[in-house]
Formats: sequence, structure tokens, C-alpha cells
Amino acid sequence: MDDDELENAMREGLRARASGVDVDVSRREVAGATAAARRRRRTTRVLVGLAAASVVAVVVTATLTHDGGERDRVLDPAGPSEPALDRGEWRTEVWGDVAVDVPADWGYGGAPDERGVACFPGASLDAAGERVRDPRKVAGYVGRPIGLTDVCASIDAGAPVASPYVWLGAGLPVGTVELSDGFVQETVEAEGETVTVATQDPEVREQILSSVTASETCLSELTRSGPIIHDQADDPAATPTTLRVCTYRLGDEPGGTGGWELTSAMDLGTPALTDYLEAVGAGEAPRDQCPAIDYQLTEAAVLEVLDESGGVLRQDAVNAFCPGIAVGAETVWALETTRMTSAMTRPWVMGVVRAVMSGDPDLGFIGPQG
Amino acid sequence: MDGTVTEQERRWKAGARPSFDAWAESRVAGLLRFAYLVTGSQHAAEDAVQTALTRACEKWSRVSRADDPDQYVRRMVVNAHVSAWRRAGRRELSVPEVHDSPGADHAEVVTRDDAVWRVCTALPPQQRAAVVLRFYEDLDYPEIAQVLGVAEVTVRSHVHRGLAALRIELSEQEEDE
Repeated sequence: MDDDELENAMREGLRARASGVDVDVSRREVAGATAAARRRRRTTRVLVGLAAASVVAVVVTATLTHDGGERDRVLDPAGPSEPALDRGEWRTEVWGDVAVDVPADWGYGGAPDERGVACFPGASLDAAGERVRDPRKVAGYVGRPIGLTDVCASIDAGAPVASPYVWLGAGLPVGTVELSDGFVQETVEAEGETVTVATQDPEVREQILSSVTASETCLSELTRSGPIIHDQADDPAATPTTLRVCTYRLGDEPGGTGGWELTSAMDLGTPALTDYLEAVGAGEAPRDQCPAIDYQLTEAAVLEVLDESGGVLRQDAVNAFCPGIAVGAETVWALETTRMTSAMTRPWVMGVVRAVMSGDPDLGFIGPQG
Repeated sequence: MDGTVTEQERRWKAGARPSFDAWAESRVAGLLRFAYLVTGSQHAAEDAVQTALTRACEKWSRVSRADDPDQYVRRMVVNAHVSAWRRAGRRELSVPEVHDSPGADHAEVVTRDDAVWRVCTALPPQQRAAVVLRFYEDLDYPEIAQVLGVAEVTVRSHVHRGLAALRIELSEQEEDE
């Protein structure tokens, strides 16, 4: 048997075997299972009447955050790149293991924690990340139980609602409540997180809630020595197209020995990626930036370089305390890092990432408070 | 896959992006056949295709922008199977079925086809995938290298070994007869 005959035998043998596959049965199985998987990723809503939760302005802290001036020093005058995930009038927001689509013009604010305190329970930043003077002028906001401002307040059922909102990870029970001015607030649970939506328009509320899915972006939890590598690109040589920023905060376990929990995720697109890679490529050789200091990393960020299909080509771990970036890191806490410069942070810090990270204000982070 | 280009596919190729459901509907049968050849079992094929389609659905806005979404999903099928194989500690073993032969003329073809399948199921997953992509999907070596995420020389080596194994199998079969 010559080579051609051998190849033909292989072809015919494979075709014969493939033709015997029961495609109709498998097709139904696959379609059913795929649909089920998609349904599982959506939340089951439980409608029960529970105590209302809305906002009353009770300022409980009064420290100040850095703002404006510091930002002007580090941001490109042209402003940050537009997030690549925006799809027309909607964008995707992530908290822990859950992702939800929200109107693209909604800003950012706080959400109540288990004690019912939010910092701040209204829009603190607009959709572009600029500080908001009057929360009522923002179309709506996405709140997380983290501090975008040090102005905090408890929530109260009877207070007027300034604007529609989506609260991610709020300390609220599942259920639906009627608020003032025709607002209805609905809280669902998905992937172990709560998602709360309050709108006057039931269709908008329904659209937001129906978009709740399991997050397929950043890892939702990190440990100090655990791997940060996930969803690796199918083709390691693929062209990098997007920079994704994943921010984390240390968990609440006593003693701070737990892992870091995801607080935000955002895809920034090619321009931000290009700027970032260029800056990191020009960086110094890696070294221990704080050889004489023993410290706890309470916040962290992982920058992911993605290919066109969303596969992760590389992960860089950001240490904002001892300012450095570990290129191609395998864990979130790397000893040797490339010294961080404002050129490396400009593409993704203030005005871009909707989370708070403490660090050197010259690098765009929030500086000392008080 | 049968190679027939539908009007819908022509529109996709002309630039209109398909919805996930429309695309999956037109591709699932071909993917299942491909996955069966790669995995060696109906159940594993369903799992691999389901995993790949779920992933593709989640990333559809990006996958659909790719030059060739089919190639992405074929890669996902292969990866899903290779990952499952690794997770299972490489214990998975496909047992080739023996077809009933309806007549003497048909018997030789069936015997040869069975030999092909025996050889394929004995190959490591990536080698088998390379052989299937080459001789069932009719992809060329650079395309296979892209799907598998390996060098072209590796693909050539996989295919060469697959054919060599088939040659030995058929020779032994002839000797037995």
C-alpha cells in the first residue's frame, strides 16, 4: 500500500466512522445541555416582600480622598481609552462571580454592606470616572460595598431615591420592595452574590436582571501563593488585543489571612493595551522594591493581556504598596517587580477603573487620607 | 462537515455576523462528528461540543468577530477533550466497536475502516486530533498547527505517526489473513 492509498484509507475510515454518529440524538442532548448551562448562569428570582431599603443621608465618616489635582497630574489630557466591552448603550459590570449588563451612562457609587452602610449610597463618579457633584444629575449608578468616597451613610426605606441603581454584593436579602416615587427594588442572588436593581421602569429592571450571568472574566478569588493563571489563550502566539484590569481587596477574615476578592473587572481595549505594553517594555529590570519592609498587601490588581477571543495571554500582578508590576506573574504577590511608573498606570488607573486602590498619588492611586 | 455553503453562511462570510443560535444550529452536527472522531465516544463528543459551545456562547461577541469562528470552536472542542483527558488522569480508553459485515465484498472495507478506527483511538489525543483535522476536516498543516496551538513540524510528526501506525495495523491484518 503506497502513501496515497494509506491516506485514502485513513480518510475513508474516518468518514465511515463519522457517518455512523447519531447526530440527531446528540444534537438534542447538546442543545438541551447548552441551554441548561445558559439558564443556570441566570439567576432564579424569588419574589418576597421584605423591608424596604433606600437611602438616607447620614454622614458617618469625614475623611477626604485625593481627587482632581492628583488625577490631573497623571492622566493623559486626551483622557482614558473607552472601555472595549461597551456594546452600544450597555456595558458589563462584574462583582465576584457575577456579571451584569447596565446602561452605559450610569455612574458609580457605593452599596450597603451587612450593616446597611454605604460609601456613598448614590453616584460618586459618573460613567467616565469623573467625580460627581450632584448625584441626582447622573442617570443611574452601579454600587459596590466598597468605598469610592469616605462619605458614608446608612440606608433607610422611606427616603427618596435620587436615581436608579444596581447594587452588586449588597448586604440585602433576596426580595422585592416598593420604594418612594414609583421605584421598585428587586434583589436576586446569583453565583453566591446579591444583585439589587431599583428602577421606576420595569422593563429596564427586567432587562438588567435578565442579563445576570456567571462572570467569565477575572478570577473571583486569589490566594497569596495560589495561581492567578486561568482561561489561557488557545493560541499562545495570538495577537494581544485587549487589556483587562481585575482589582481585588483582601477578604474580611479576622487577621487578614484570607484571600483577595474581586471588586471590579474591566476590559479597556487596544489603545490602553498598547500604551501599557510600551511602558512596561521600557521598564527597569525586576527587583524587590521593598527589601526591608514587612507588609500586608490589602489591595491588589491583576492586568490581563487578552487575545481576540478573550483568551488570556499573560497576567501581570500589580503591587501598589511597593510600587511595582510583576510581568507574567504566576501569583498575585510576587517578590521581584518592575518599578512602577506613571506611564505604566496611566492607561488603567483613575478615571478608568471603578475601584479604590491605595498607593502613591503620583501613580494615580488614592493617597494618604485625613 | 459536508462542505455545503448555505445562503446564511454566504452572508456571514460577506461580513454580517451570525447570531450564536443561528451559527450553532448550522454547525452542531458537523462539530459532533468531528468531536466523535477526536474523542472516540458519543458521550465524550457531546461533552466536548457542549463545553465548546457554552464557551463560544459566552464569548460570542469576540468569537464571531474572528476570521473563522469554526476554527476557534474546533480548537475549543480539542482543548475541552484534551483537558478532560488530563483531568481524568489519562485513564480514558475508547473501545472500538466491531461492525457486522453484511457480505464478503463489504467485509474488506469494514475491516479496513475498523483498523483505521482502532489506530485512531490508540493515538494520544493531540495526535488523534491532528489526524482527524488532516484527513476528515481536510485542513492543511499550518491550519492544523493553528487549531492545536503547536508548531507545524509537530503536526507533521503527529500525522506521520498516525499513518505509520495505520500501515503497521493493516500489514498485521494482512498477515493474519
